[in-house]
Amino acid sequence: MLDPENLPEVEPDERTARFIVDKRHLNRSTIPPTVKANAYMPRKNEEGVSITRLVQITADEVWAIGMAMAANRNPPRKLKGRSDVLAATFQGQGLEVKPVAVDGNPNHAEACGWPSLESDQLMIAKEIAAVAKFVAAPEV
Amino acid sequence: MATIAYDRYDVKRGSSPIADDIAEAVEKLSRYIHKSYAGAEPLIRSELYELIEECSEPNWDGYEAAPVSRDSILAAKKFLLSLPLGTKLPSVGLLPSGNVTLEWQHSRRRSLTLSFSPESEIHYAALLGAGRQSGTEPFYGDVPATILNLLERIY
Repeated sequence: MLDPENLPEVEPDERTARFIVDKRHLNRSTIPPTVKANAYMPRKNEEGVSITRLVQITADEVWAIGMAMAANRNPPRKLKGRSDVLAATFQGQGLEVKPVAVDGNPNHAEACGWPSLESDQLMIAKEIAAVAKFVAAPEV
Repeated sequence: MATIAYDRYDVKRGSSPIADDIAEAVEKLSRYIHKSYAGAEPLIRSELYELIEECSEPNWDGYEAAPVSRDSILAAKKFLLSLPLGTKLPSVGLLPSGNVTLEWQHSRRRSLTLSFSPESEIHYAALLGAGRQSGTEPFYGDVPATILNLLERIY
C-alpha cells in the first residue's frame, strides 16, 4: 500500500474503487449488475466521496479494506463488491481527487468539489456510474 | 404489515351521499388498479417499506449516510400511486442524504433518476444518449409534466 507519509498526487489514469455495501446501489436487473448513481453521491456537497486508489495495493488488501468497511456498517453487512472507475472520470466531471490517508487505508482518497444542488450532484453521479465497472466481492 | 394510505383520494369526500358513494368507488378502483400486476402497490409493499426496516439507522451504506427520511418515503409512495397506469416500474434506492430515489434504466446512457426531498421537491437527472437533463420540480401529488416527458424519452 502507499506510504501515508509520502502520498503521491492522484494521476488521471489511476483506477479507483468505491466499495458497495448496500444492494440498492446496484441495478440487479442487468447481468452483470451495474452500479447506480446513488453509489457515487456525496452525503453533503461540502464533503467528498470516499474512494480507494488501486495503486501499489494487492487485490487481497483491497478486499480486506472493503470487508472491514462493510463490517462497520450499521447493522454489519456483507460486502457486495466494488465499483471501479479511472480518476479521470471524476476529474472530467469537474471534481478534484485528493489523497486523504485514513487509519487502515493509506490509499484512501476523496472526490471533492461537488455542486450544491442535488439535481446537479445526481447528474455527475450518473455520468460516473455510467462508465463504472462493478467487481463482485470474492466469496470468503 | 404496513398499511397503504391512498392520500390522493381519501381527502376529497363529498357533501352528499352520492358524492360519498362516488368517492368510495374511486378509492376502491384505485386500490384495485394498484394491486394489479401493473400497479405500484407491490413495489411499495416490498422495496419502499423495506427501506424503513433496513435503513432507519445512520451509516446504512458504510459511508456515514443519514437515516432514510420518512417524509421522502411518503412522497415517493404518493408519486408511485400517481403514475399513469402501465408506466414501467422503477427500482427503489436511497441517497446518503436519506432521500428516496426511483430509477428507470433502459441502458447505461439512457436512464432517469428521481430524488424525493422532504420539502415536496423532486430532483431529477436523466442521461439521454449523448444528451442529459437535470433540474428540480415541485411535487404536490400530480406527476410533473417534465418527468412524464423524460420517462417517454427514456424508453
